[in-house]
Order: sequence, then C-alpha cells, then structure tokens
Amino acid sequence: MKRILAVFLILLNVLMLTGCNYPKESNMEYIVSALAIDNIYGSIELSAEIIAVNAEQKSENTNRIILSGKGQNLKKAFYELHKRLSKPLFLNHCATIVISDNFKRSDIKEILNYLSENKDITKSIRILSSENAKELISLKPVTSISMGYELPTALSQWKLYKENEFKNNFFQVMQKILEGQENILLPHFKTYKDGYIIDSVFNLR
Amino acid sequence: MARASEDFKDIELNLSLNENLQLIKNIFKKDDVLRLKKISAMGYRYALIYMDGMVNTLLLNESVVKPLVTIKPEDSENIAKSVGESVLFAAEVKRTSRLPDALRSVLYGDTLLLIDGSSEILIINTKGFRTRGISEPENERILQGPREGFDETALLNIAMIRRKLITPDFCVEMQRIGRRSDTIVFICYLDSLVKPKILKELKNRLSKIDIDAILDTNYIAEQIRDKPFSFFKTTGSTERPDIVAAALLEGRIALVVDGTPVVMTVPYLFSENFQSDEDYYLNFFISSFNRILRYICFVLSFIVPSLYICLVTFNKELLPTEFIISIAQLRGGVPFSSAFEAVSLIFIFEILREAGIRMPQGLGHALSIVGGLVIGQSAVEAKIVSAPMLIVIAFSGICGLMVPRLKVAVLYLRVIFLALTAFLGFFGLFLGLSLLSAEIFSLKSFGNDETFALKKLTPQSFKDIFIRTPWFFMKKRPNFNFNKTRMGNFKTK
Repeated sequence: MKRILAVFLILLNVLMLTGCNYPKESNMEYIVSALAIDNIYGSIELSAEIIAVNAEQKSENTNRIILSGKGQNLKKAFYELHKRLSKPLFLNHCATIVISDNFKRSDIKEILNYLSENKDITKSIRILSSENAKELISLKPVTSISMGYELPTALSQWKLYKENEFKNNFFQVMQKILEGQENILLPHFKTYKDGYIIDSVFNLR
Repeated sequence: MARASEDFKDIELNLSLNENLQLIKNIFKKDDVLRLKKISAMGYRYALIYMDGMVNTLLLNESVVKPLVTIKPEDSENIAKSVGESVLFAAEVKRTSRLPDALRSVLYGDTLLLIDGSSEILIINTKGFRTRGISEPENERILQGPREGFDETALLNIAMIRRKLITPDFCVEMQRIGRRSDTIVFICYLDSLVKPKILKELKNRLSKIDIDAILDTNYIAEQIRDKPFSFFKTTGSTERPDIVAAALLEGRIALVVDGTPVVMTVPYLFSENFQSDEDYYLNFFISSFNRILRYICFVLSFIVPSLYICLVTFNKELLPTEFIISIAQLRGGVPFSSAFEAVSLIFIFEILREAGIRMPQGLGHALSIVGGLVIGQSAVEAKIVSAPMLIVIAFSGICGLMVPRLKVAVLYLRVIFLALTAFLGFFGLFLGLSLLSAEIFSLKSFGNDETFALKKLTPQSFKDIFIRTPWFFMKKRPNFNFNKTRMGNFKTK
C-alpha cells in the first residue's frame, strides 16, 4: 500500500510539473499551410492559407481557402481571423510566412517576436517577402497542394540555379535579429501574370 | 457427510465377506455404475467390485475371473496373499486393509477382490478406460519436428516424456490434490539437473493447495504463482512432450496433471514467451529472425494504437504534412474521438477472435471473413470508424497473435496504454513503458529472476534469448540450473 501511494504521489507531481497537451482530432482543426502578413495603412492584415479537408474528396483535389483578419497588431489580427473560423487553426504544419516588404525593421522584429512565442510555429518555417503577401499566397499552386508548400520548393530550386543559399528560416532570422546583424536578407517574390518570380532580395535594415 | 476416500480411514474391514460388501454398498448406495460380481469356486467365496466403463472387461475375465474359478489357492491361512501371488494372472495386484486406498483404486479403474475369511482387499490393476489418443496439439502446431501431443491420461503422458529421456535420472513423484477429485499429479524432473531449492519450494506450494477439484493444470498454476495478479506468466504450459523434455533438460520441473493434456513447467523465464519449439528444429538463421520478429511484434501489438493516438491527437507536427492531411480527410465525418474509436475496435476485434475460437473450424473462417471484411468495410463507409484506425487495430491484433503466450498481457497492455495516451499523450506512453519495464524486470518464478539474463547482459546469457544461436554455442544451461554445463567442446573431426 505504501509503495502504491509513493508511486501515485510521484506520478502526480510529475504530471503537475509536466502538464500535458489538450488532445485535438486532426479533422477538428484547420491545417494552415501559409501565413501572409501585410501592412495596410498602419494596421496589420493576417491572411492564412487553409487546407480545406473534405472527407468526400481525394487528397489531390484538396481545396484551399484564404481567410484574413485585420488588427492594430498581430495579436488582434489573429483574434479577428479566429473569429471567422468554426475550428481552431493548426499552425504546426505551416511551412511559409510571407511578410510584406513595406514593414519597418522594428515592426518585423515585433511580429517575429510575437510569432516566436507561439509554440505551434515551427522554427524551421521559411520566411519570405513580397510586395503583397496575401496576393502571393492566393495564387493557384502548380506543383503542390498549397502555395505554403510550393514556395519553399521553388526557393530550393532557385538556390540550385543561382548557387546562393538564403538563411531564411525562422530560427536563423531570429538569431540574426538577436545578434543585431545589420543585413538580413530574405528572398523577395513578385506576382507575375498569375504566377510568381523571385525577383530580388529584401534586406531587413 | 462423506467427502473423500480419506474420510473412511477409521473404518476397519472384517473377516466376513457379506459385511464388507454391505459396507462398500452403503458407501456407493447412490452410484448405479458400481458393479458387483460374486463368485463361489473351489470352496471359497469371492466378490469383485469395479466401476463399469473404467475397466478392461476382457482383461478382468481372463486374468481374474477365469483363474478364480479354475485354480484353488494353496494357503488357506493367508488366503489373500495366496490368491494375489499364485491364482491371479494380473500384472499388478496389491493387498490393502485400508478402506480409503481400496475406494480410491476402484474409483480410478481398478477392481477390488474381496475374499470371505480375509480382512484384506486385493486391488487388481484392470484400468481400461478410453483415451483420446496421441494427436498434434491444436494450438501448438509446427511445420517441422515431432507432432505428438499429450493426452488426458497422466501415465500415458509420463510414458511419452520418458520415451524422450531414457535415463534413470528421470524422476517421477506422485501427489494427490483436490478434496473431492483426488487428482493425481506427477512431479517430474531430472535428478542431477534440478535445483533442490526450487523442487522444495514447488512441493511446499503444492502442499498448501486446498481445493475441491483439480480439473486442469491452470487450477494449480493460479494458486502457486509468484505474482498472482500479474498479466505475465510465471509458469510455463505446453501440450508437447518434446517441450517438456527440453525443459527438464534445462533443469526445470514438469507437473503432469491427470485429466488434462496441459503440462506445467517451472521455473519460467520471460524469454520463453518468445520461444517456439520449432526454433530448435529449423535452421538457426530463420529461427533467430522469427524470434526477433516476435519481440518486435509484442512491442508493436500494444504500442501501435497508443502511438497512433499520440501522433494524430497530441503531436500532429511529428507527422508528414501529406499524411496528416490524408488522416484528417479519412477521419472526416467520424463522430467519435480517436481513443474511443480505438477502444471500440479493440473490443470488436477481441469479440471476433473469441467467437472464432469457439466456433467450429469452417464457421470460424466464415466469421472472420464477415467480421473482418464486411463489418470493417461497412463501418468505414458508414463513418463509424476511420480507415486508418481500422488498419492500426488490425495490424496490432495480428502482431499480438505472433506471441500467443502473451495474449492476455497484450490485451490488457493495449487498453492500458491507450488509456494512458488518450489522457497524457507521449508522456502517458513513456509512463506506461516505464511501468511495464519495472513490472517485467521484477518478475520472479519460484524465487528465480525471470529476466536475469537480460539484466546480466553477457554474451552467454543472450544466446537463446533474442536469437537462437547454433547448438555448438549453447554450452551452458540457463542460470537457475544446478548443473550448468550442457555440452562438451564441439568438434568437427
């Protein structure tokens, strides 16, 4: 009896210290593949590319939905976006964050700081820049099921061609910001005739 | 009210045949199967008492009745001794003046001979009841190797073991257990190999059993186990004489119970759960592969459903994106949680398995087709369960069947692990694994550490655990053994 009590108390302590995640079924969440953050006259517009899972459809016919929320800061934008959804967003499989190139460095630092606090954002997520982030993720993907998964692939292809590698995943960008590096280069995508091109490099000064 | 033969120990027989007969008639007054035949020949009066259906009547006529009516006993002073030694043709005749011994014998197929003027009863071995015969055990089938299996007759089973171990070192001790059944239990061992401490412990535990009847080995096994409430076995059981012979050769003790083909072996090692007798009859490469497969399947059988729950409900980020999208699509429309789905499917699987076992063979196949294919397919289409969960549970069920000796443990572990992971995710999974390891490593069989070899981690101790090394490497017997050397140096020339 003493042993059982001891084991129970140890387990209780461990449980209280560790905590545990709330289980969520995969079909009870919206799988986000890309986030686009635009600066529209001083307010932030957050757009999410959501993979709409339909039980009646085969995987190759997966639909995408682009939904947006606006706010004074990213937290409010997220809140506005959540209000429009019936299920919570699942950000763990988000592969790309596209940031509009009209943000100031301080704004971007603030955005990235906020995102870094979100444990669902994977630190290997790619950060890209574009003139209009929402427009970029709204394009119809050609090779993948979503733009969020297609853009990093396109970037890898571009790297092979140009022999130039961007260190632009979330972890690397945050590290550079924290180290106070002057030049932080991000690949810059531009929409072009219903498609996109990597036209230049965006320098976070 | 009388309960067992031993309850008549205070009753003494007298010289009068009629009175002795009346005494036995009174004891069996409600037993219509008892047969009684009086014989008067050569100036003497005899009475034969036996149970109908349990004696060989031809043998009785030829070796008992015929001599009694044709041969006159020489010594009228000691008539019982004279009849037993010089009249009867039977191979085994015992004299007794104890009524309990006589009653026990007649109930076990012997014939009692009562003689007027003698207070002794002759017990004549005329046993002749039908047995099922030697056949291959249904649940221990092999592709290569000896195919004989035990019968329900203990003596026949002993003979089958003895045929494999032709040595005077083979010892057989008899005990009777069960107040009403008075079941004969034989303790078999090889005298030079058995560890006296384990033998003493077994006898001590057997002596403490006080039960009405022993109808199968499990009646004993459950009462002498080291950990009565553990999911894991601490005593071995088999229906094959070759396995018992191999166990005896490793210094184990076999318990042969009359009335059941299942023989118990002790002490038991945890690694025995993953061994098959066929491992030793096939090439060691294939045997080792099969054994590793059994270990893997044991772990997979309870870990796969819980791991799946962890991955699809707690840590979806660990799965490839395409996979999680596919699962989300296939789960779409299913109203239940993954954990509930898993538990329900496990119960359905167990129901189908149990029903399939109890059914006649042909019907069992039809049931598995209807259960597995039709119900499974329909349940997926009706969105009651999701297809990936069906695959996971079916796979886990098949893995569980790979280790039949651990089927009870696998069933409970599957549900316990599911419950832990459904609430705690990966933390629950690792908590379960830690507790399971603690349980396995604390198993003891008759004071002997079941996982000693795993803890010791020496090359010698691994030779017959995860793999089956060639015979010429297995020079030593398991650790609990008294005499460790199994074989001499291997020489090719």
